[in-house]
Amino acid sequence: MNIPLKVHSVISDPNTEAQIVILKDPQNMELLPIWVGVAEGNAIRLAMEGVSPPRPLTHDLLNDLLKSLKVLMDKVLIHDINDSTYFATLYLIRKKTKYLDDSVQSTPKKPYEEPHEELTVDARPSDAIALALRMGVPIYVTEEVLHKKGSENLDAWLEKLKPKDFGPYDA
Amino acid sequence: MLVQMKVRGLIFDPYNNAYIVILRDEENTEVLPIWVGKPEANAIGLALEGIFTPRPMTHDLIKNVLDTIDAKVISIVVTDLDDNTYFSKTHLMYQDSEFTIDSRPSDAIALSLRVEAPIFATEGVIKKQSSQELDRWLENLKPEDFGKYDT
Repeated sequence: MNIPLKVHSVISDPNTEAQIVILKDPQNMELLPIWVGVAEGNAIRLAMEGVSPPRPLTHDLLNDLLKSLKVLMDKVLIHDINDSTYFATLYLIRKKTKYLDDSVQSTPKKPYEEPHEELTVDARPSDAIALALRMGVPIYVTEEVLHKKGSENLDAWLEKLKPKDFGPYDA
Repeated sequence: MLVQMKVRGLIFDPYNNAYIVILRDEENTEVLPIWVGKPEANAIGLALEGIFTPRPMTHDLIKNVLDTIDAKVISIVVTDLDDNTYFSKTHLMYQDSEFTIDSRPSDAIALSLRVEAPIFATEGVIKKQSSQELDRWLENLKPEDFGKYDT
């Protein structure tokens, strides 16, 4: 089963240069923290704040491209985690070529009613989330990944912890 | 008129803490230096070096999306320069129609290197930059840069 997630926040990991995107399952209050690069973290933050930069940033470009070509996105799905690396898939909807000539249609149809095909593209979750927020499409995670993350992320945290992080508990 | 350009280098500009992509024409007579941000410089550098990352970086994703939907980048054109900001267009072919998308040159160049699309600049932008960029360099020069001409 796929669980919808909302982007809760982007925080800076004090131990590394990376940013952490916190995804939240609104019903069960489950959290999915995903480590992302600085550029991708900023791209997500800008979309969350609804900031439109004067020039299109890289994810804006991808959004603009898809909009211009009238390629829709249905959802993004975070479907795997391997060795602390998450994997996501973009679900794109493309109108079929032979029906492209709109002029022959008497009444305009909604994109989903037209003959279309679904195409999938492999992506890092950071890019998938940055794009999903711009396109206003839902973000899902498989139940398996959400439950698997518990142990894998704990390992990642423990590896990154420094002795000083344990300071407050020494006394 | 359009002049075909090639990426000739990627250098670090310590004065602005930014990177400069050097575009040159075939005859090496015209140079177009374009200041870009760090992530975009990384994206261009990886493509220049032919390095494949284990996971697709953002510009790889754009290429993969375009490949998947069967859209082809025909060319990118650096069209304008305004107050040190370059503008460019990405020209695409998709389902027998041509599309033009506004983009930053850094993204357009990072994409063009991945899809092997030609890079062009308008003659106007080349003329414009030769004056504007000179101003910018002069502003950034420090006295010690002139050192070797003192004697």
